Amino acid sequence: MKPHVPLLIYLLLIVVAVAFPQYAKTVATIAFFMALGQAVNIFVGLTGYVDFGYVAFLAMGAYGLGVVVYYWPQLGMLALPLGVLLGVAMAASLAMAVGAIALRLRGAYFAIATIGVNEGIKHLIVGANLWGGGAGLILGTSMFRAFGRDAALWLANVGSTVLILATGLLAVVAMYLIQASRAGYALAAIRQDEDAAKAMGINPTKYKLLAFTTSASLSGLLGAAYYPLGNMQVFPENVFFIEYILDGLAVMFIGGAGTVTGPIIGGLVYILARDLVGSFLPGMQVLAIAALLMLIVILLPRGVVGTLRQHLPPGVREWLP
Amino acid sequence: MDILPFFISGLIIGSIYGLATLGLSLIFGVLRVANVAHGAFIMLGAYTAYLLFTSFNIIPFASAVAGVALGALLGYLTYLAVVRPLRKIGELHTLVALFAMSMLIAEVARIIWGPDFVGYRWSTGSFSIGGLEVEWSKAAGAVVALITALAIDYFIRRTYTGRAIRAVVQDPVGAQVVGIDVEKIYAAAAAMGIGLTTMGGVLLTLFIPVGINPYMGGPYTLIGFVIAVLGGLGSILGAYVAGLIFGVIESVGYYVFSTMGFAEPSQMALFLSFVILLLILLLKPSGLLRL
Repeated sequence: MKPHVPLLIYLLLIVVAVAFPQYAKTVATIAFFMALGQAVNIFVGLTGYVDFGYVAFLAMGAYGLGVVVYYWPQLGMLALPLGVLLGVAMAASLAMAVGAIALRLRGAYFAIATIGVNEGIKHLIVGANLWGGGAGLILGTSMFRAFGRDAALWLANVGSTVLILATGLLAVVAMYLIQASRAGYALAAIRQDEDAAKAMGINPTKYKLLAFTTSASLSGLLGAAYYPLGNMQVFPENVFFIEYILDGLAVMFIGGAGTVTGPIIGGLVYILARDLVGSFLPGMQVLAIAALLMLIVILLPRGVVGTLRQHLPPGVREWLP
Repeated sequence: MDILPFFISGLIIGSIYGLATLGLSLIFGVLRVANVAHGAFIMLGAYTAYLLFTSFNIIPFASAVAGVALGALLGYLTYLAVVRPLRKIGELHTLVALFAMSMLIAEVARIIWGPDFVGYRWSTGSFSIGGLEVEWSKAAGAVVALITALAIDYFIRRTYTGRAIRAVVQDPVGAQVVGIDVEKIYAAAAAMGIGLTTMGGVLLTLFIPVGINPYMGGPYTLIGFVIAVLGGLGSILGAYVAGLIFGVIESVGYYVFSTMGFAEPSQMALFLSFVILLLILLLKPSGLLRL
């Protein structure tokens, strides 16, 4: 596969966001769903498993940066990389903890194990009154203190958008590296027949855990970029919002599970569909997206890019990974 | 405060939890599909009870019949539209389609009935047992749930269709070889399973006077799977007994958390159920009960 096309699209969007800050928020909205689909794809597309508690990883990233900025604004500019790092580390640790338990199980059992992750952690934070509890963290003043007023506003607008796009870009790179390596072949074998793969000496749990942790780390990065940095706040009702997994799955399945360009196409279709429905039938966006996801999964199970790839000559197919 | 009243009230709601989980376990056993839309059907059952009671004064035990009929119809349609076409494509697609369907159902419910919490009050008087005031309606609900669970268990063990269902659970190909119409059994299990789920939703409204809402399903999906896994996925009586156990754990857990004081007890009880789920899956994914 040649990852040039998706990489170029993300680079182009980064240039647009930096050069035209007035469009940064618009780009961020589209990029968020592309990157979400891209990150979800690394796990769901590569392993064929589905995680219904996936949103918790976004939340971990959001809380990582949120907590550092809120409680230690005296760190100054250092709070940004440290917070992002903490968020990614928290998402990765959660993935390793859940994965170590649940990824030993097959398909449906794994999905069942993940159903409670998102709600469970939300109830822990709200119930035990951690990190601001149900009231959340409001970061405006802390961010002004930490970064200075102008820098904070630039970071919330352009910085957050660039970081969201960087997440999408990194996800493409990660997908490329995994698929080009031993792990990619192992995962392909596991997807087709887990027992046969095991018999050939592949350790399925190890490779599934690799894809799961990579995917979760990227979602942590995305969560940090979107909520605390972009919106200057972390509310449990927002960051644990169950509909994001519907969105992530919709973006991925519209484009095609396991394809690299899929989430870009899927993200565009998703935003277009959502905005069209929003302007003609306001309040029915989630209904429309749920119906769209159901129809795509049943009628076009390979998605747009996946179906297209089946009909393209190999020379062209290489360029549309 | 004494712990006994919490134990008894846990058993009573646990009976309803058990009933609401029978269908989930049955569907997994027969179709090998984890019904992640479980909570959406609980919600539809709850609205059935609410609407019939507030519009026509029909008591929940009568609307339970309507709930079963509605659920059976929806279960059959779900099987035709989602489960059967995706059988060949794979588990991932089935799970995602059911998940999307559950959100679709919740959204349709919100558009029809609005996003607010609603409820009804059916006063039947109460009696005292072990230091706990129990309303007659709740106690009767628990008994109806118990009788239904025993009847379903009898049906599965003793009747021809029930035995055919068990044969399909053991080996679908073998069942086909000995002349069982496996397609029919699949459809029947889906209809029966969802029917039982909506019936559970109807009876659940006896316990949540103001808790009916289009998005109420989420926690019940989690609770349903905790119970189904605890009882051993696919086991009917196991699901019912696990429901009782879970009801007690939840109720006593609420009591323990409320005495600790630092935490919001109802939220922590839900967190506890998530921890239990992970622990069972870690230690014994085939379930604790073998019934």
